Amino acid sequence: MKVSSSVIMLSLVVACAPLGVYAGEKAGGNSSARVESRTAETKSAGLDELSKEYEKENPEAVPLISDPVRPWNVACFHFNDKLYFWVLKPAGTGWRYFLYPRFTRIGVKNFIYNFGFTGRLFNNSFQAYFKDAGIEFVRFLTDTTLGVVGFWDPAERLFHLKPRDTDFDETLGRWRIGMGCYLTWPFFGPSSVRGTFGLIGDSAFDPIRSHWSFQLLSMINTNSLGENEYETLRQGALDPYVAIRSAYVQNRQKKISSKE
Amino acid sequence: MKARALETPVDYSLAKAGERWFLYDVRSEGVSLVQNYRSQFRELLVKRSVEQFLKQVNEKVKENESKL
Repeated sequence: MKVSSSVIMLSLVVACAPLGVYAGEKAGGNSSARVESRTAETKSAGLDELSKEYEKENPEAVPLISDPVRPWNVACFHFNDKLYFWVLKPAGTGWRYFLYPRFTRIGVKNFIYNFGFTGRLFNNSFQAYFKDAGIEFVRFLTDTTLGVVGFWDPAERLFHLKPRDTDFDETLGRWRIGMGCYLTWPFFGPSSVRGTFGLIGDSAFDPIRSHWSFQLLSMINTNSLGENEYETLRQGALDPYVAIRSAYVQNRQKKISSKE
Repeated sequence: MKARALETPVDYSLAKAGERWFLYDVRSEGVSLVQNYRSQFRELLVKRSVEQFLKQVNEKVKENESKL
């Protein structure tokens, strides 16, 4: 947690760059009027150069999404937020002590992931990634037999067969269907109009992993492994709702536009 | 035993300005932290004055620094 919060801190400072309140380095100690005092330091450090560099690497504008049902989304966000801190996180801690050795919980993760092979097989085919669909098929056979129902991942560990993770929302996106407006659902979290159809598609093509019991186990297990990006992002955010929305849209757009 | 999905690549963007190297963005899973804060700043600056906004930023920085 220490490392991740310092990353957030550093990036909070860095994120001020386009607004002209960039800081030279991570400062410690005296904290009064820090942002203002940093402005002067920045000018000498070449803020313009940094901004130019940034614009060069990010030619497209900030990804945006319309949010006409914001009150509903905010309500769902708060519901899910409480669910995370009051239920999921304590359950994750309990689960960690129940299955203490880390490799057993990683095994559970692999086990659940292995069941998602149908979804990856279908969606890779839908997206014309036929080689990856084939890899998925071989992976399933290998991991289910040699890997003892998927607890171990010999397909990747021994044969270097990496899965291409995907879902139905990505399929729809690659078929050039737009996201539509932003939607948040209780339990399911951030989504969109397209994302909602994606969830429906996943329940058809990835039926086992989409079952609520597997979803719940997966979320608790993931949390027990200390993979809590949500918390990290939330802690550093000035407006957690907007931070999550932006992260969701960026992540989806990246997935769909990536050539891999 | 190592889980494939436990590996999350993180990209750091650095630029040299004068003598020093500056970190100006951190990206993971397609999410750029600069973009993320930009979208937050956009909404906050519509709702508040610049002074209130800077105060809020300072408070958040202090709050998180105290946790380090």
